[in-house]
Amino acid sequence: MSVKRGALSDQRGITLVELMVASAVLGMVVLVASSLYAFGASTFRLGESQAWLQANMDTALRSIVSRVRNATELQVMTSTPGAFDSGWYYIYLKDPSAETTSVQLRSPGGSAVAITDDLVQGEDGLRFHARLVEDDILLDISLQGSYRSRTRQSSVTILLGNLTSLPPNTSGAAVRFRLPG
Amino acid sequence: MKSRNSEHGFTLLEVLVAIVVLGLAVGSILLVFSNSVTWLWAAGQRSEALNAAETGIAQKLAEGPKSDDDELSIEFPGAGKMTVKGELAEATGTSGNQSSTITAFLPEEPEE
Repeated sequence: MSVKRGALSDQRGITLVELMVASAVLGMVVLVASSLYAFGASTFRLGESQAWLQANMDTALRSIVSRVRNATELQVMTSTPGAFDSGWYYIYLKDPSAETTSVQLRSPGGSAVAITDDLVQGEDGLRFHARLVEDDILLDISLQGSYRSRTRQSSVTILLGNLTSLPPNTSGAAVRFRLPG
Repeated sequence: MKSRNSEHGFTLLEVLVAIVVLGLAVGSILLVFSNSVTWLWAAGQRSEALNAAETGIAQKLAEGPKSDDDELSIEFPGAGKMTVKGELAEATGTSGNQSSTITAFLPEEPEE
């Protein structure tokens, strides 16, 4: 309370004009700062979605390719199989009727793991197409996914050097195959 | 207490200059942010380019060599050297401004 009698009590207040200028400047600073923040946050979110989608799709495609390439026997199935035979690897969509679902890899022992997050499109999200070029069998693999507002399509073709004949059914959304050894 | 009275505050101009300087600093940080998104996109295109190159080389492997101008020699220590004729084929895939090239040797089919 003693301060009031000292220096501060001598000071005048601030005028209305000063107050208005100060609040206008503050207003502009806040406006610019918040728009910068909003820009930064949306950029970060966009980048994060894209990174997640890319990482998922690319790892899954690599992991499919590295196994299927060595197949000694392969069958293309039109959709997710209802029952599984032992001794085969299976690659299929977990729930093709869902808007987005995961790609599953089932090993001959019977354990299934998801090799993507739930971001692969249920309809046409995973496609296989086998075709004959000269005497060799090529397999087109295509993956389509979406995460938040981002979409991505990845496809690759591999040579199935260990196969001797084209599978009876050439197009579908799932495959089963055997590996050597 | 006297000294407080003699202090000067910042002028409006000083405040505005400070704000502009701060703005430049923040702006350059945001530039790094948006650059990282550009690099992320490039990484995505790179893997698309790799897939395209792999598709190209699979097609060439299936079609077989178009010529026998190239040779591949493998030397086995103490067991001699083998030479295979064929074609050294290249497949390039591009996506955006990223590209990827795979080179493979396509051996000539041995004559029966």
